Amino acid sequence: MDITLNVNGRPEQFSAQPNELLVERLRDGLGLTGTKVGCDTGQCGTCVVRLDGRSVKSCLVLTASAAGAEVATIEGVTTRGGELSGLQEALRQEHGTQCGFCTPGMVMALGELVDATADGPAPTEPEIREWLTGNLCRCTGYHSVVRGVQRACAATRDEVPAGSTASTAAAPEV
Amino acid sequence: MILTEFDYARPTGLDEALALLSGTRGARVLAGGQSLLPDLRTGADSARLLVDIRRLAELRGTTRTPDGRRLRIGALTTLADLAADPLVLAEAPELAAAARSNGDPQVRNLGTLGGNLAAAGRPTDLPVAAIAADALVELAGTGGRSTLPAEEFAAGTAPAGEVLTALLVPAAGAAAAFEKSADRATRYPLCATAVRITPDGPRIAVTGATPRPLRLRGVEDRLRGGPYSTEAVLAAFRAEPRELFVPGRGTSAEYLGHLAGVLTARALQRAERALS
Repeated sequence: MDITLNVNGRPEQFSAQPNELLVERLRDGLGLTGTKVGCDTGQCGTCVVRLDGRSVKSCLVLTASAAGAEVATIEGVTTRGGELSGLQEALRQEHGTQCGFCTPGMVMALGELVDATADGPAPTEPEIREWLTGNLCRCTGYHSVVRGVQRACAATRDEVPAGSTASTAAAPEV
Repeated sequence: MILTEFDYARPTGLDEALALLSGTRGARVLAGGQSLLPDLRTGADSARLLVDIRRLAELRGTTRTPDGRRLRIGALTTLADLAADPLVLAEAPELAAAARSNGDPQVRNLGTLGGNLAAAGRPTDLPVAAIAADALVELAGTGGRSTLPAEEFAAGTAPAGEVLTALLVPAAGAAAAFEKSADRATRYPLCATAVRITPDGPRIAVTGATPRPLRLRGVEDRLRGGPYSTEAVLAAFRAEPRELFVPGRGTSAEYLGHLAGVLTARALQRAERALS
């Protein structure tokens, strides 16, 4: 099947089998290996991308079904110059990554939460934790990820983040 | 990677979809795909042709029926949109709560109302809300449209070649509630219950703890006229036959019967508070 897809703002044209999953096209066809495969059955969330703005698991989408859509992957989040997004920087500052395998999926999933709440109050801790139910992390226990989201939301609202442990003042030598 | 091979079609209208479904052996409807695709991936299900209806705009969105007494919710409305729909929140709050309790945000962004109602064999959350609400399931086939009470629809299998097009839900205001105790790993309910308080008494449906989504008429009869105290609701559940509850996942029938009673009491009390 001939398919056209917009990935990170670039039109991509290719031929795909009907049973090809979007995650396979992104990784194997387009070389965008920032999107990971964990469980391959929709449970772990490390393959999350944005499809027409909404976060989805790219192992639960057929490439054919995504034809004509706008797809955003982790590669499109960082600027061309390598500068981290506000959410990525806040996750880094709050030590919200350890092995990093779940991180691309978390950034793509949480990006939707941050965008959707941008014009209103910052999401509460229970809302952030509920939003993370689709992303499995076996390293951090989620606390630092939650703090990272709070920091990112506070930064865009010019506030001190709730529950922050990372000081904005000079960090002690370690 | 999905190892089985199938053909794929994306019809531009419902009539074209129905023609494809009735004309091809092994044709299946692909909507959100959040159950079907993992089942194809693991080999738990099979298909010869996937008829992708996800973008049929005619099957989306919520309207009031002309008499104002029901909401007509398009089957392709995603669970995320259903959970946030102001009309649904106001007139069928148990349906919005059930939609919100399903899966995770990403599954809710693609998973649909129709797929959740028709996911036979999976203990999804929307069927109990539809049953308690006395909703009608609207189906389309090459022979035309038909409706089926949600309770009957949940008792059978989706008719082959037909497409679930809408759910027709009586407007209830705040007199309804949904409660769930989720399995932590799968987010499927150990037990979920939906209730509606009507002038004729409560309507109560339970899933997860039971072999399929069931309306519990015996419990309703015992609770008619109230009160909906936790003691009264637990006693009403204890009078049900033990075989109603299917043990498993580390639970006993006695535990599940008790859990169903506790969740139903909470739901009834919340709906009653919202009414007053």
